[in-house]
Order: sequence, then C-alpha cells, then structure tokens
Amino acid sequence: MRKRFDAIWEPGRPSFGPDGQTIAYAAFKPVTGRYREGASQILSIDLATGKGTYRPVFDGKSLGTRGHDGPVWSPDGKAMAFVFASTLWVAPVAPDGSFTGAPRQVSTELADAPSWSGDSRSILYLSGENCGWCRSLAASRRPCLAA
Amino acid sequence: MALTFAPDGRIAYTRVQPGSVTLVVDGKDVVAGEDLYPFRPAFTADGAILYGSGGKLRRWQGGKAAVVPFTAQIPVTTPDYNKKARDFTSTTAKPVVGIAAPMLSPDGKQIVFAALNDLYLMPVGGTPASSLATPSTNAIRPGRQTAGRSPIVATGAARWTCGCMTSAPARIGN
Repeated sequence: MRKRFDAIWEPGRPSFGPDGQTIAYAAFKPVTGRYREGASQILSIDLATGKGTYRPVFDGKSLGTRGHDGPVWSPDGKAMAFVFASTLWVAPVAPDGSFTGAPRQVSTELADAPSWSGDSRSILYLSGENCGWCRSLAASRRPCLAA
Repeated sequence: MALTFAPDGRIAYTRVQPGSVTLVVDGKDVVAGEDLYPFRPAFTADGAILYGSGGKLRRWQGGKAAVVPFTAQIPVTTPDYNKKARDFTSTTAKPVVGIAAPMLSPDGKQIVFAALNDLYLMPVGGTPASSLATPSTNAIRPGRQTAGRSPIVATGAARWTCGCMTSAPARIGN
C-alpha cells in the first residue's frame, strides 16, 4: 500500500473516478491554520501528480457529515452523488472531479450513505424515514429493506 | 467574511486571503499581520474592538492594541442520573433499530451493510444474512471491490475481504 496524500482530519470514504486516475473524498478545510472553523469540501487527488484540489459543493457552503455521505463517483465517471443539507444531490463531473453543471437535488427526505449500481442508473441510500430505501434515478422509490 | 456592525454603525469584516487574515473596520485595515481569529470581533460600548489573535484576547482602540489578560473558573461536575440498563448477554431476539453504511452491489441485486457490529449481505427485497465470524474489533465499515464479488470490510485495525459470505475472511493489509 502506498500513501498518496497528506494526513488530514477525519476525511470521508474515498471514491475512485474513471480509469482509477483520480480519488475524491469529503475533507475538512479550515479557514486558517490555527483555528478549527472551516468547511467540508470535496478533495480530489490526481494520482499521477499527487496534487489535491479542494472544491466546495456550493460557494460558501459546507458538506455536513463526511463519513459515508459522499462524494461517491458513479461507475461511468460522469456524476458524483453526495449528501448536502441532509438530502441527496447528484452533480455532473469531469474526470478531475470538478462539477461541469449545477448539482440537482434528488431526494427531499433525509438521506445517508449513497452508493451506485454498476450501470450508474440507480443510487441506494439510507433513508431517514424508513431505514433503507432503494431509489433509482429513472424510476420511483421502492423499498429494499424490511423496516 | 464575518460582517458585523459597530455600535456607531461602522462596518467591520474579516478579509481572508492565502497567508493572511485582516480585520477591516470602516474600510481601513485595523489588524494585519497577526494570526487573527477569522470571525466576528466584538465591539465595546466605548468603541474599542475585542478580537483574538495569536492565542490571546486583545483590545484595540485608537490605533493601539493590548492583550486582555483573564482567568476563568470552570467547574467540572460529575453528572448524577439514572443510567440506562444495557443487556449485552441475553440471546433473546430483539428488533434492530438501525443499520449503517449500506452499499449496493454493482449488479444492483445485493446490499452489504453493517449492523450489530457485524456484516450483513442481503438480496434486494430479501432477508439479511450475517457474515461468518468477523474479527472482534469495532467500527466495521463495508466497502466493495471493483469486481463486485467480495465486500471489503474495514475494521478498527485492518481490512478484510469476505468472498461473498461463503469463505473465511482474509486479511489484506493494515
């Protein structure tokens, strides 16, 4: 195993981009080096150069929980899912992890732990209402877990 | 950032740039070149500015700043309350109230998740099945290999791969 980036404070789960060339994860970025206040952003690491780039999901806004709330790259590399303000959002992305369009909200209920199907057409997430629902981006919501 | 009003209506804010944080009051740089706390300062009734920098509380007035020394008593109390009774030894079946970190398999047909400090695999719409005995550590976090066949689990100290819940867990590194 090789270390690919600096140690940072409690980052989220990493997610590979297309062709495994970039890794994105939720990372806290403090305003200054001394004080702990700051915002959680998406940190993208270019594995070829080792360079990391922080990008907020929205200007001046912070991700909430970093642990399992994304960003999660879709297997086809075209989108990232993440939880912002406790609901699920999807943004179109370039191979370097930058957004190529505005994120759109895809859930109005509390959401946690998004993950993609292999065909990039469905997202599973933990629902705040019912302990686990499957939601396909194309179809309507259906339950996956017994309540 | 950190816009605030002085009692006399002047506006103060913090200008944050790479390598510097400056307190600006009424359009003038008032505190510069210090390791400034980058959020709202406080104004006193007589128009002095209280701010933090370099680990100290400081008071700025008439172009001069001075450290404000202070001490504080912080009482520490041991809370006294009825502690919840926990049953960790009974084997009676009980309802699970939540699961953690579910992940969808690439074929969209199975979900791996953590619950009760164990790993479960469940066909979508079906019944969860517990994994084989996993190492006794805490903080199980399911992951998934690219091939989509074996969930990778990170426990407190190591990562393990479980072959579709049918073979013994194999440690793959620290």
